Amino acid sequence: MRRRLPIPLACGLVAAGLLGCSVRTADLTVVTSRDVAFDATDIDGLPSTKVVGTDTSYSVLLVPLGISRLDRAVEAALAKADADLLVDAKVYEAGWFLPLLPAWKPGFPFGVWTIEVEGKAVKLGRTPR
Amino acid sequence: MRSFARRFAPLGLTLLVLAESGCAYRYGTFPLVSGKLIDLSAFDLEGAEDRGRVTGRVSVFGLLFVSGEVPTFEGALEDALDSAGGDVLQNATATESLWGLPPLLWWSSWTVTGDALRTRKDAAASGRPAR
Repeated sequence: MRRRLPIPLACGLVAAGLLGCSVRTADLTVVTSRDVAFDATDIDGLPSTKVVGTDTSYSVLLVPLGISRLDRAVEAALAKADADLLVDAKVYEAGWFLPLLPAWKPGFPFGVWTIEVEGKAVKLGRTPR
Repeated sequence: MRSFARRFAPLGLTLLVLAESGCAYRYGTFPLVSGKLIDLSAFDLEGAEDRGRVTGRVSVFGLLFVSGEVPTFEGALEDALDSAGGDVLQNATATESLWGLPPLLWWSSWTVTGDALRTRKDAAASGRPAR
């Protein structure tokens, strides 16, 4: 007869296996992924929208299926507001890793790594260079 | 005991060499990026002073779970701008590298390369962003 793990113990093992952290990695005054011209622009005087953009990659069986990139997160944020520039951008990196699920028999090591950028999106209203 | 060590030493060495891995990847390319205090009310790249192509790098060496301050993209960006006295980096490329076998022995670094410009006319350009 197979013995089953008590549910609280199983939940505890899964929670213990779920390792992760999030850190703020950069504060940027301005950043853009778009090629635009800047000549005597009053950026402070332009309307802005607060936006968040992310780029996420995964790993399975310890093999990365992609790489998270900051420029893609910036582009995702700019695309949301159809803007050209992010002002006062804060960059966060977060990752978690699930070594074994379920904990009492072989599972699939699975990881997620996300770069998130939040800032004020500004549209310059000019044609790209 | 000695024959056991002799038999498995090559295997152990091979596994160690295989585990001793490294990678470098591009964190992003940015037509414009800055972490410095800049005047956004009169932002003019056309009239900015060109400080040339620069490279900033921050790195750390780690041994047995112990290392110095963890390098960051922002640190490498600051190093690049400080080396040229600029406050904005144009056409920037950021790369992160990790070599070795953490947490036993490893070397980690960030590199940022780009064209440094100085948009501010005063000497306060080297300050940190006040926002």
